[in-house]
Amino acid sequence: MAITRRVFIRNSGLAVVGTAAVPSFLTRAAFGAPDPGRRSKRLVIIFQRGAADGLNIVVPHSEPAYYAMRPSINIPRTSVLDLDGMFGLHPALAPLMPLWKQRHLAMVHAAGSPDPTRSHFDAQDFMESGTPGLKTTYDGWLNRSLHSLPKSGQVSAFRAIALGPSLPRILSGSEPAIAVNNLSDFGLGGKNSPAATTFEAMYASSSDSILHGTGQETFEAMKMLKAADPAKYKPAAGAEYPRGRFGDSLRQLAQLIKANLGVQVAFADIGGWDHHVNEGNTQGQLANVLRDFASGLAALWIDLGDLAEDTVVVTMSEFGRTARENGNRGTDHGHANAMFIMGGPVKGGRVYGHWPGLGQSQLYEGRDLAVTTDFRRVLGEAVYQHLGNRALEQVFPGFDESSNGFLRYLAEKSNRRSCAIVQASAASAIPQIAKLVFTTQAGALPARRNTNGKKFQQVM
Amino acid sequence: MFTGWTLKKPREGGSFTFDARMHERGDKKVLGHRIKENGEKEGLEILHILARHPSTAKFISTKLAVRFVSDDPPAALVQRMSETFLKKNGDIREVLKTMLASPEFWSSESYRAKVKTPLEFVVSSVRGCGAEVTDAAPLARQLQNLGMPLYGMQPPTGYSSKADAWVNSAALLGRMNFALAFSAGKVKGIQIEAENGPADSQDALAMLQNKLSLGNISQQTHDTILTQLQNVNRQKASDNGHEAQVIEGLLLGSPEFQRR
Repeated sequence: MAITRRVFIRNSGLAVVGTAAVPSFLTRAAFGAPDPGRRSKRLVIIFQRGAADGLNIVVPHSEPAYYAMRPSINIPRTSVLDLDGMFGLHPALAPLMPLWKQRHLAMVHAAGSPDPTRSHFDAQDFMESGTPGLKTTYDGWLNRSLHSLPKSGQVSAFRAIALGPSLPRILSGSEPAIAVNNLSDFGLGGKNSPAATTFEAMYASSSDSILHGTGQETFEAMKMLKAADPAKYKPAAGAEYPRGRFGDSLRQLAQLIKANLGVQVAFADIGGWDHHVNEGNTQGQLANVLRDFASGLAALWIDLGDLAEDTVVVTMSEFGRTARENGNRGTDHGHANAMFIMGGPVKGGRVYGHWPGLGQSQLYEGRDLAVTTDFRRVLGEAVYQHLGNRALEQVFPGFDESSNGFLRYLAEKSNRRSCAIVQASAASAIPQIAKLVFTTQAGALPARRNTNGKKFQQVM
Repeated sequence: MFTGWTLKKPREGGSFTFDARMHERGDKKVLGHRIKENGEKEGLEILHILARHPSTAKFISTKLAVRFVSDDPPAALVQRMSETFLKKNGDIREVLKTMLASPEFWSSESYRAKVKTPLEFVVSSVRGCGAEVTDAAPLARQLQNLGMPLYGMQPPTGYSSKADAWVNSAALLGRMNFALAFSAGKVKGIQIEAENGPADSQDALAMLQNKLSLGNISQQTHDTILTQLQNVNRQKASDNGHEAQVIEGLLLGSPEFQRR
């Protein structure tokens, strides 16, 4: 059996022969060594399935209409974690505040899909296919985002991964992508099964044009993972992942990234946002899931350490929720939402986008926050600027915006994680800066028409 | 044209009805055809236009050829199938006859040119081993693990029958794990008759190969299976039943069995 470690060699410049007998110091060297060539950029997408209530997450606490429309479920001004005098975070998002202050976290408010559907199913489908309104798209945009990227030789089996039991729509398509539910299960026939060796030999020598290559990649991936020893993984000090599926997903994601397995795009999701009844305010159902969300992202950030420099995380949800609370102290399916962006290259400490306002005439169909930033504009910038894929028309076919429309939330060159002293001094100045930026961003945008044909009004 | 086409009491399983009040009046123009105002019949007229459209003939013929011949079927074959479709008013039986009688269908390039979908893989495993399904739910769960939940495709286009949608590391690993679990009787809801096969490993392999309709497996696959059997036999006193299980698992997970 020929032992080749194509991915090893490319990623680390070190060939490791055999896996079972490799001393741990050697695997550490192989996996931990910095890339000799271009540093690899990673894009992580988090899907909040079930339509998160953006108005109670990034709270427009300067809007009296917000409080008027949500008498029992609003987040009081005294409880919000103020961001810029205009918006504030739900108090359960406290674990994310250090990132905001370090300017590695930003939000885009009033973002979403132009499609008017209020069906979870259709809206999630459109967000994953990247083609709102078009149901026949076969593949997902995150898969396509790799399609026209230059490849050097063989690609890693872990290049595109989804944390979960099955490959989601967003990652399905012609680029190889894998779903990993539990890293310790990514093996064959139990421990030391003779079948694994036999299968490997079969596929290695097969003349099958398709199965030979995929078979080899599979066995290579299994060995790489085995060498990375997922069972013994200890997150970095201070990285405390929440218990449960979301925390497990992010911990395993950090593990794969840190093992230097060539992860380029990754996807994880978190459910439990569909609160039609008893949503709660500072405490309650939404607060509980937000705690998971925030502590998971914060742990991922800490755990990635220096690797966060080359990582951008973008969150999305299929649509927002009604501006008014309903008769059951909950909210129903709405339209625009808030997206979070986290990472080394992110110009954080700002809320991006164009705030459409909550006045009756400003609401979409008289009931929801209007979409002023197409979600593809936010994602497109990450794909174009961070992953370096210039063929946006293939990633988001039918979306005819050029890179000129980007919000420019990514720095041209990655800004290093700022040191503590700078953070402290910058933090005090942030509210003014953030407000200024938001106003400038909004003012710079030409007036756009929403799907109702009404002109958006500037309210700030 | 289709305005007014609706359902009677859809929540109670009602059937088709035409509601003239919901129908848009006036003449319409579709694909270059002028459709005169004609109530419910307008919809039927456009369906006829679509059914006779050359693009429809090509689309359906391509689907059939991809399903039965290869992922990238010869254009000449699709062309002839499309012609039959148009000539025989869309009679699928006639289109299939054209395909089955073609030299392309019988060419060596088309032999086992298709990679099984997970459904085909699971079903052919069950049938090939002559297994009795007492509860189909565990098998359906296996399909979900393999990325093809039954009736679970979100876009209305349905599951792809092309290899690129199904051949990737996780899926392949899933198939090999299924093969091992299935042959070892670890998939619930399945009963496999214990084989009292030939005592000789070579003969047992040949018999199972035949049973799974594998035709001629490569010499390499053949040899690697025998090598493992020898190792296993050396380790523990073998019984024929166990050996048959091992061979079955390895054959089901082999590259050859992933093709049809």
